[in-house]
Amino acid sequence: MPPQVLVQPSSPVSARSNQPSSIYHSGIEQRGAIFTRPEVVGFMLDLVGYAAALPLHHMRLLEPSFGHGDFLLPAVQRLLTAYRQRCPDLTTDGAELHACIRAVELHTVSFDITATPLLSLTRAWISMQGAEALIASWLSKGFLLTDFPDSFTHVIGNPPYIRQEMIRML
Amino acid sequence: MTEYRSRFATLYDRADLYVPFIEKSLQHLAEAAPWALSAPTAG
Repeated sequence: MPPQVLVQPSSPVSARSNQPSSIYHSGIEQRGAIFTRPEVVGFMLDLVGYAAALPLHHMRLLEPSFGHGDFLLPAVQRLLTAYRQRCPDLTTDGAELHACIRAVELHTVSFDITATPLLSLTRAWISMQGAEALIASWLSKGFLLTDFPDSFTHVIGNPPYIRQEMIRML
Repeated sequence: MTEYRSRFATLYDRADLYVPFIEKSLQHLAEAAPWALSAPTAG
């Protein structure tokens, strides 16, 4: 069954670590991972108003289950584009950006797979030291049982689809 | 599962795990802030 999009858009458009250890390394079906096409990701980012023309470096985006970065990488691309337009200094360490992204992924393999291109993307805009520090701030593991002190201006993503029976089996 | 159920009011009966993900995501959302999350269709 194809996923649908649940949404509260930015404009009034009507649309609609106490985990079991094995989930950290489980397969795609077991962990309920569904990947999202780039055009859908772009549509959803537009829908919530996460646009590079806006001062995204003053906003805070939550991605609760970033998987292979389907949403995270395009979102960071938009953030860095917005930031560069306002801060053209290529030697910046991007210190203003630490609170801009909170992206969470429990699955260790997916976490590592996504961290690499995310560093490359960020490194293209920010000093290496700054980029590594940003990624360390932006990414974390475990969502449901973690207390986040922040509130966010945007939430976007594709949560895992896992039936409760499957959780008991993991 | 007991820990999850105690934390999330939406996780009852046979609710899928994406449901508490949405609940928690919205708890951390600033008032009237936009959001978009994928979910399976009912059919």
